[in-house]
Amino acid sequence: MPSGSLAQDRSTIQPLPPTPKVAIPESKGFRVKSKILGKALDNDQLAHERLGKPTALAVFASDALSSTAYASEEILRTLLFVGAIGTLAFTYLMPITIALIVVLVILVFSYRQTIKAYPSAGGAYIVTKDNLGLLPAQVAGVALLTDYILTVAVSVSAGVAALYSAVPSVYPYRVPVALSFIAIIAVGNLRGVKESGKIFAVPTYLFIISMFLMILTGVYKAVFGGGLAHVVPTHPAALQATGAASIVLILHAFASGGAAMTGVEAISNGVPAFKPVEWKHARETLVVMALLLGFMFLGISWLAAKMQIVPSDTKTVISQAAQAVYGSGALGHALFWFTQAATMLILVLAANTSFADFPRLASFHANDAFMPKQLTKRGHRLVFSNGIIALAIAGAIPVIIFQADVTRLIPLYAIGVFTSFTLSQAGMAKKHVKDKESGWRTGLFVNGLGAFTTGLVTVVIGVFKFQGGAWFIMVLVPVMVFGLVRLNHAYESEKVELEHEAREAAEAPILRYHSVIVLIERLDQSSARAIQYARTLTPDTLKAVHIATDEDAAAELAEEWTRLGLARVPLEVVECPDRRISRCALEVVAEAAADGSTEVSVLIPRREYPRFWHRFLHDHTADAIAKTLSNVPHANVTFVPYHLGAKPVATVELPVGNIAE
Amino acid sequence: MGRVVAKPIGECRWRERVRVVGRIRAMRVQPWEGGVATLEVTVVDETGGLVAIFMGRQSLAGVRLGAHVELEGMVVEARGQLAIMNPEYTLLPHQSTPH
Repeated sequence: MPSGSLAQDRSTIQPLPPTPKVAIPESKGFRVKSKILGKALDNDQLAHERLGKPTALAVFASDALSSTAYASEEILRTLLFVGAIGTLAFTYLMPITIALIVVLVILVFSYRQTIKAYPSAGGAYIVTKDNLGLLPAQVAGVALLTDYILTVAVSVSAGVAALYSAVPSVYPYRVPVALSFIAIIAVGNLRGVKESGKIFAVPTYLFIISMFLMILTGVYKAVFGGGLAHVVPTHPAALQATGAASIVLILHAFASGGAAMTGVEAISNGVPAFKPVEWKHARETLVVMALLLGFMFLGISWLAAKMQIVPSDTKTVISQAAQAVYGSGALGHALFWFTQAATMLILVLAANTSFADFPRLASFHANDAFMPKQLTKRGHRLVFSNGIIALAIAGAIPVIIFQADVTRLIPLYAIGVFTSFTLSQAGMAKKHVKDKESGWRTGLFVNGLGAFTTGLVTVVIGVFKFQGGAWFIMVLVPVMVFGLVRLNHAYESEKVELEHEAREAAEAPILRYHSVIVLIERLDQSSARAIQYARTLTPDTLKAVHIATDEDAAAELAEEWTRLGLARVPLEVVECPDRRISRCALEVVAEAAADGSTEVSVLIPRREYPRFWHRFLHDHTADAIAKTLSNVPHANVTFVPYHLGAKPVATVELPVGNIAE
Repeated sequence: MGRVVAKPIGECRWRERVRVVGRIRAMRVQPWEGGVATLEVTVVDETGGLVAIFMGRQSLAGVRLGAHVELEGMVVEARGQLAIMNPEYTLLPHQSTPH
């Protein structure tokens, strides 16, 4: 505390400025980021938006509801193209759909339990971690993460399919179009649109309306309008096939249709976003969503069966159904376009659901030190930016590999989500046994049945989609889990090492001596600045060291040093015949620290360039030296920056021929 | 009780009794001379900032970064800055300040 200041002095003390007044402009990167993403948000602006049931339905159900756009189609494709059973396919479509809806009903009852038990932050990861342990949680989490990646790929591809079914000229450009959809969604999420319900509400409800309209019009025409005519297929051959239906084929088709269940878990992940009482509203919304999903799935399958729609490469089942139901009049045409537009929008939005869930789930993993810590960081706009970017890249890869073809993506899909269904339901079952709260027997039955059914479906999907690509996921998930466990060990051992006796270390006695070494290449502004700084450190010994790669230059420097009267700081010239500057510096520093009671500060002048490309004109000796010196205990490197172009210098005419460097 | 109207921090001067309202921008905990724990917080409003020093405290419930507080006390000097020693303080409801 400065003592002896007079009262007169004190009365002139000004308060601190409201914000630290530092006249340093923001970096260019930050300014560009602010342009694209908007103003950086403060922590206390973290949105705690609560959603009413209608909005929540729109936000959380888009993934689940959108899968009706391709589920019936994928069942049909398996029956028609894999099984080649001709018109028999339309006989089996409805029973398979109904079987899937039974699974849906079981899932809904199971998730009603989960929502009530985990109203704060549900999701398979937390439930599994709480009840089954960290390792199964990694499996559940990774399985779900791979599915979120595929949700992006499948939804965007299906959205593009809806687009080119209506506008065939888009077909050749489907991959770039799909990728730009992903980019748009990613940027939107980086800006933080994730829970602004209104953006979701419109497309979700448009899709629901368009599907209801189509199905009800179809039903009306079938009952009162003289029945529905069969659609003339583009591949009539598929209908003439006479293969026999086998149980294997039926199960395969069932597995393909399993994609319809993806997204059912979304509500249980987002219970805290509901208005109070959260779990009650979440449960009701879940039931409404399941009813809508069931009705739409059933309706589309029924239309497809009734009109014997054969999916083709360029026309989806829904687009053919809409065309057939609405006819070719002007109104029919308009309604067809409406259906396609609504379908495309909801599919693209379904990808957005993944963008909300993936980063959050990844941050859970990272918080438990099972994924890179960068994933826990909230970015510019308070969203998990790194997770969003990771998902965008990961989602783009399957789109490119499979050329935005939904049918080729579907075999990879759904196995992950069913794995996490199974684990989280098993976790719930175990919780009932463990806690024995009132009504636990019913809960155990519901979740036990859920775990059993979803487990069975997982096996069916694994077996029957194995060849089509599920094998990839079945290999990928264990490999990933293994990787995450290794990562966790690395993080844990790092933490143990860093925290071990940290307190004692902080209070350990300091070393007796402090020696400062300034590394000098030549006598110029940047080294002068380093020497000036070195002298403020008031060390026990201070010296400048020049590593002599060129003896003439070294001699010149030494002479200049004495001539300018810089003798107060001794200059040591060290020979370096093999020109390995880092190695020579290491030897000098190691020698200074050799007695074990000296703390060595090495100051390295570093030139900072105003333009980034200037960096490429120079080597990075300073960084290389610093890296090498860090190997010496008690050697500490400080860079002393010198900003080129910061100080105006009287213009000197450069002699031609001396522009080397 | 006739209370002083809250004063813009930028207008506070040494040896004044003031009441100010502001946001906690920085906190600093250190053992004072003689091992007495001291909590120092920097409180700012749109006009300026000063330091509030709570002697003998390591923490105060609700006093954390970003919290809005009302402080009342005598402005003194500590390490060349304006400070209020052991002010009376009131926690204010949370609000986000544009800045």
